[in-house]
Amino acid sequence: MIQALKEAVLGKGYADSTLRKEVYQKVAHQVLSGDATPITPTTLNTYLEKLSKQAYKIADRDIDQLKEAGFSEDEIFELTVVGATAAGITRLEKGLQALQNCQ
Amino acid sequence: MRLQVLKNGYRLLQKLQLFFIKSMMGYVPGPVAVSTYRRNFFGKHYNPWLEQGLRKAKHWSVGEIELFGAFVSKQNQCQFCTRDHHTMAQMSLGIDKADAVMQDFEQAPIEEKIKTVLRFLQRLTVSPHEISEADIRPMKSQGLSDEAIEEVIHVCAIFCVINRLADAFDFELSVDTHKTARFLLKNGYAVTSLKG
Repeated sequence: MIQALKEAVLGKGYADSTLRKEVYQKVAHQVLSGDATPITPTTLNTYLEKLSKQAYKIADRDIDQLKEAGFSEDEIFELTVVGATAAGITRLEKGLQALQNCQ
Repeated sequence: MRLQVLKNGYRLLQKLQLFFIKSMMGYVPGPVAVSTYRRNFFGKHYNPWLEQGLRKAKHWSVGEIELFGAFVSKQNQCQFCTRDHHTMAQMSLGIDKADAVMQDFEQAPIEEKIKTVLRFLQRLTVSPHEISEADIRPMKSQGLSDEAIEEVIHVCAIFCVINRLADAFDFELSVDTHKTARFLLKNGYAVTSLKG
């Protein structure tokens, strides 16, 4: 179920598949280490930083800036879903790993 | 909703179902929109996880799971999810108990076992990189099984996904949170990704 979700959001889509993998890895890295690794373009990087750590601060202008940078609505939908999925699944993996280590 | 595709990018059969939902609820709940739009990309796979984690847990009641979900959503400062899941926790566990947890769980009149879980959820939500076996041990000391702890971890992960989507896409707040809560308590989450 979880693997199917991960494969779906990284599989067929409108946004470049390499970029989607980078987005997933960036958010996963942030969850695992607390550190941010930059991604290009800058507009997308700024958006993902917010999505990962303070999604409640995302505003209309963040979406507008992504559109101005050339992303279509479908690409924004996908990149957001990929980032959010990474935030959830990586927490799941981190928590289950800690549980496994506590035997 | 910030993306137009989440307002009108649906297939005919989905549009009819969304029209019916809007007539009944007064709005289209964001999770339904995001799980229905291009459902093979996300909703088809996310919603079974949602249903499994929030409605088929073996070690926790629906009220406790909803309370955990509301609590994680509050840690993420997601107004949309906090509101609806807090209401479901109120309806299942009682207003006083749910409110006390959401205000200050350390002072709330609840079992120590639940407080231990809430401390863990707070850390996994806000400081996941710091999580280690030391965070698991207090829950085990309270007698929680590995399976019960696993269920709690899934709830946290599920909400860390939808909280971000709610805030990024700007989900519309429910018109009547009690109506939404009653619907979800009765029907669960499997029905919220519409085929078509």
